[in-house]
Amino acid sequence: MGMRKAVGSIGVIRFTWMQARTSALVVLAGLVLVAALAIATGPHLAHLYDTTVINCAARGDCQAAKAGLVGTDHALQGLFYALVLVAPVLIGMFWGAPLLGRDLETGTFRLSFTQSVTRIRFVLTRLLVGAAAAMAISGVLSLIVTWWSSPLDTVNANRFALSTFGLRGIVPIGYGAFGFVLGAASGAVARRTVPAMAATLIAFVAARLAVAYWLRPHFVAPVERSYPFTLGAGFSIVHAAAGAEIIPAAPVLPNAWIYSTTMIDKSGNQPTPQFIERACPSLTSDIPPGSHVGGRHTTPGAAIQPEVHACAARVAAKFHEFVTYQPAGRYWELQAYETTLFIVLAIGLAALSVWWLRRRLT
Amino acid sequence: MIRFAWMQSRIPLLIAAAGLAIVAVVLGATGPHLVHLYESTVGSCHSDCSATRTAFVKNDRALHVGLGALVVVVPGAIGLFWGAPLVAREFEVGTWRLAFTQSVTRTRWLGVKLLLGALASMVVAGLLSLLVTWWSSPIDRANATLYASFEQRDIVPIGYAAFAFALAVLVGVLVRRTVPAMAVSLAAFVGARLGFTHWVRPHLISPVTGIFSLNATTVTGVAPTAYGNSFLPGPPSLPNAWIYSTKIVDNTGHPLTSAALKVLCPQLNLGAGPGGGGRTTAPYPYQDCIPRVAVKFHEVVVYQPSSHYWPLQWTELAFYIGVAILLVGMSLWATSRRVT
Repeated sequence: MGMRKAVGSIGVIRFTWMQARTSALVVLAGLVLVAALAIATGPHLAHLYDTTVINCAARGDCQAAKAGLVGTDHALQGLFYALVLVAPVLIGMFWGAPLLGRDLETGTFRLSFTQSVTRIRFVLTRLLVGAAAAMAISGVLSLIVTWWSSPLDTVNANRFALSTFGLRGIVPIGYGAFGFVLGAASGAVARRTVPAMAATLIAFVAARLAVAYWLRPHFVAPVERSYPFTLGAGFSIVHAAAGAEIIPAAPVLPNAWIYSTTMIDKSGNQPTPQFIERACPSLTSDIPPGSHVGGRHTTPGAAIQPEVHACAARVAAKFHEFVTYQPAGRYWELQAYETTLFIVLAIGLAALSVWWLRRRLT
Repeated sequence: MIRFAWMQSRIPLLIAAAGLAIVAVVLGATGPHLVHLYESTVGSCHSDCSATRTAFVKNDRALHVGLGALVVVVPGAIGLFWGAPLVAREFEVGTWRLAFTQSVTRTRWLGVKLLLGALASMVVAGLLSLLVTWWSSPIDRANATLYASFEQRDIVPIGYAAFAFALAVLVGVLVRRTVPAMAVSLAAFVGARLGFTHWVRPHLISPVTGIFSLNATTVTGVAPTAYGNSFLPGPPSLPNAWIYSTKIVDNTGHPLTSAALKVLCPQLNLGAGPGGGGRTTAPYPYQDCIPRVAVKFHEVVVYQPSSHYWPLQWTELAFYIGVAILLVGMSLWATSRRVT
């Protein structure tokens, strides 16, 4: 009895493979091309890093060395990042949507759902095979791009940035599974392939944006830390609508995700415009009070006038910098949370598809 | 025939109109605020404006990036989604036997559907580009990088939409199955766009050659170049220009080689590599050497100035529309032949 069920599942897997042979081989060839391209150009980037950036402090040209590295192979960077970005949604559109949508659209569900394996086993096995393939493809792409891009990521030191977080590490695996099952669920509900493809595209983009902007900041409570206010990195005095505002430069925290930096005193109040005008009269005086917005910025290394020193000293006497951030060490924790979230969403959508198709279709 | 084509394409057109309406509402709600903020910050800034500009362009950054992505994706997407099923679906489902044997000829049938679809795609892309260009104009003025967003503004997206639609229809006629046609057209569209941007656009209009003196802005450091360790040229202050190349040459056109630099500045340490070869104290600052080199050498910059922007836009639009017309002709010819 158990053997028969297993044989049935193997049959479904073989059938799915036969249906998807051509596109699977095309995608595989594409992956091999991408890997070859990465292997051909990756060592050059690493070599450039080793020869120009590592010793840049001794030579004094770190800014030029880093800018030079980041600008190398710019077109290739764009290509690789675009591939990792779009692979999950393309898999969902071109493999997920036709999986169930095509059978329902052409009427062949009357054959495929009334065969020796049960409907649920048929759909579930196909979903599992497809999701596994999607995860494998996205995972391999992410591995290639993360490896290729590691010198650049080390220089940029911005792993949590919205443009990089979702294109490295293990989260693309979650996106791949989610994209595929989202496509399949759209096909099951819409019962037509092309509308399901459009719905998958829109829903996937919406889900990724929603998680990145609204959920990701709340996976783990950020760290809050106070720094004494120093002149080191500079600060800005801006005339906002309510009056003068002092904006400190963010502390140097490589690879950390800084949520906000504010100036507060011991009771948690921000400096009032009146205080800033009294503490830094020369910096706020040349802009007529109550009128347009302007800014004066102190840049690190530039000649610092005595009034800027005095201003900083007066502000530092009462206020300190308060920073809310995710430290760099939490990178993998957040990656794991986001991957798990998308895989759970995929499982939920798979259950939805099976439940939707369980009942009469005509 | 027109009414029939309209009835078939009602729903996609309504969805596109609804999408445009949503975008218009969002942009209408946030656009005026940006203009006001620009006028009160960057617009009324007198002296050192770079910090004000940097602060201004951070406003609504997410929306700015998202809109740019939208204008890049939408013309291709509507071309694909509307173009590929146009003929391929008829073949796939078998209704071509009906469509090709009715009172209107095949060419007229396809011609009307193509015209309606192409016009609709171009109108949607054009309206979207208009909305995004209007909303982004304060940020674009503050950034002064006109050519960085060339593909996402003004009239070129109209050409991309027409090209994507015509390409998808032709691929659908040849492949005769919808989903494979969409996949092939997507690959072909992306390939064509990348190829055109990289290889054709730089040569559409001849660039301008400018000569600039060497100073702390135009020389950014000492690095390995094609002529040995030498000065690294940087871009001069050319707002809204598309810089092709920069190099440092003398009056006869000879580049600044490592040997020439050593003659002019003997104390300059050029050969510092990893792990030593240089002094452990601070290296001789190359900036002190610049005035000596500037006597004999200058920077030659090849670039497209901002005045070439609109001619380039029109030329690229004409190219893409021309190719689209060619593809439309090929589709019409391919359907008029025997199918079985």
